[in-house]
Amino acid sequence: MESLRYHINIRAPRPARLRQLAARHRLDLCFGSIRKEKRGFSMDVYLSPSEGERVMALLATEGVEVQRLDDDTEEVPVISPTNRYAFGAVPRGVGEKR
Amino acid sequence: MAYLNVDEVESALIAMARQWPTLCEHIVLPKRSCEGRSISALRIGKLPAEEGDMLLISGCHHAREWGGADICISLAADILEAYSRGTGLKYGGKSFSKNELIRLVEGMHILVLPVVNPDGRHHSQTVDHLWRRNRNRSYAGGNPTCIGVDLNRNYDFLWDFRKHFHPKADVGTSDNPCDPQQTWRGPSPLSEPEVQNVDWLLRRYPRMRWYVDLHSYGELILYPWGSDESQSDQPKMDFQNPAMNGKRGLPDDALYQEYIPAADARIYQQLAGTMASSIKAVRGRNYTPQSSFDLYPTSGCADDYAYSLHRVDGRLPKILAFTIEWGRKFQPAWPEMEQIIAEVSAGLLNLGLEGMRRSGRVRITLKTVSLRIEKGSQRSLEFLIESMRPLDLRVDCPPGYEAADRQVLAAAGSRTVRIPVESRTDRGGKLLIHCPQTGEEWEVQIMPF
Ligand SMILES: [Zn+2]
Repeated sequence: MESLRYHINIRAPRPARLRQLAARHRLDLCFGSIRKEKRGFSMDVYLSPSEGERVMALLATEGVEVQRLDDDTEEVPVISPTNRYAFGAVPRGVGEKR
Repeated sequence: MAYLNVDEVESALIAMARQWPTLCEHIVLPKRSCEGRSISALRIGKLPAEEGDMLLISGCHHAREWGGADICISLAADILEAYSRGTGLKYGGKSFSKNELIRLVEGMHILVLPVVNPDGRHHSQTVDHLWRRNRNRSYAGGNPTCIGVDLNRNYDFLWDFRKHFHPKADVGTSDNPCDPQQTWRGPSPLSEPEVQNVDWLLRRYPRMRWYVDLHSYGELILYPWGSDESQSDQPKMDFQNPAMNGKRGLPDDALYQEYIPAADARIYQQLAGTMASSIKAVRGRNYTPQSSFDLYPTSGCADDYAYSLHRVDGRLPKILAFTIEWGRKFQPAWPEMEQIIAEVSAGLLNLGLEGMRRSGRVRITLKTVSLRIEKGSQRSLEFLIESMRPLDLRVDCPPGYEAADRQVLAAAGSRTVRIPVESRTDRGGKLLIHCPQTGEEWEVQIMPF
């Protein structure tokens, strides 16, 4: 799988406009992806680097307010390759017991 | 560490049920997923399943929102381990005491359903990171991009948006199986087996009180309604009223606003607010509490559906339902996900405790219909009481009788409380008992011999 390291933030006056852009450019969108900002609304989208470049360029030519956020240099998340609990090992939570 | 795969989630639930058989129960849900996977939940709580209020937490309706499942498993493991070792729990700057863990395990139930949509999760973890829906192929016409239903648009709440909403309302759902936003609602409400499982859980327990559906992302705590702005003055302007069809879903208009009783609106805000403060205490992240509609109108979502059930069917309990949109991306790197697990766990435990404290059901049943007392002797009034908070029972006696007021301490389960009444007369009368905390009153006839 290609990693999704290209993080862009798109702004618009109304959520409807953001959803329209998302639909047109096949951008990813979850229920909470759209946020109310002090002025208007914004939406974060994560893309692969090649898709990211393409979408940024397209949106810019359409006059959409869009910026790249370079907070995203993390590793691609890892999925457990085996079943850690197959033989009765018990999961541990992240909380400190005390 | 790494995100759990779908087999691991099932094994983890089974392992916990084996390790702590007196504290939890592994529940295999009635429907398998579209690809035939078994789906299960874990109920944590020492009381019998039909006693004690219940909090349901579900994750991974949406395939790519991986962390919901990991939150459920970690939270269950934390509660079970801390309780069985007799310790408290600490998440960053937020602590829960040993006694709070006892209240959670002995006074209520926490039911976790880590993966509503295992087929979708598996697909998202192995083929397409950004898969959202389930993997139902029945309506795709052989086109792989049209596979699957958006499970969180498939619930039976104003599902038919073309009929229920205003034509200009910008509802976040779709009747096109190939919708690029993957929000296809499915062929009919509750059509998907994965959604039928959630529905089964919501209806199964007579004291299901709270429901949190975990999604990502946005750092939000959402509560009903998602159909329109809320109002508390016009009960007839509600989702069940067909005269309102075609009017719903426009922002800032007087045409339609969804009815919510004022007391419910208040408690939603309070509970969402207190969850947000617990989350913040862990490491400072600000989750915003708001109504779902504040984002955009939706139809067929789990939270609205769960909360609407008691209005549709008066025999079902009222479920206060929330959606938490955790984190700032779908699949954060694991060290960040661990922090999110910690903060969301703190919010969820707090919801259980606060929910019990504020609205935890108090049930007082008077078992004594009348008292026959001989002059100079004593008989007892008998109550059956369930309460997680202390109560007072105040007794007004007629002349010639005496009874002491009684304080009842909070405790899990139900128990019998007796108040002795003494007679110094051979005349009858009426005893009046009242509970200042619940406002209830009872009358008992006294008949002399
Ligand atoms: Zn979601």
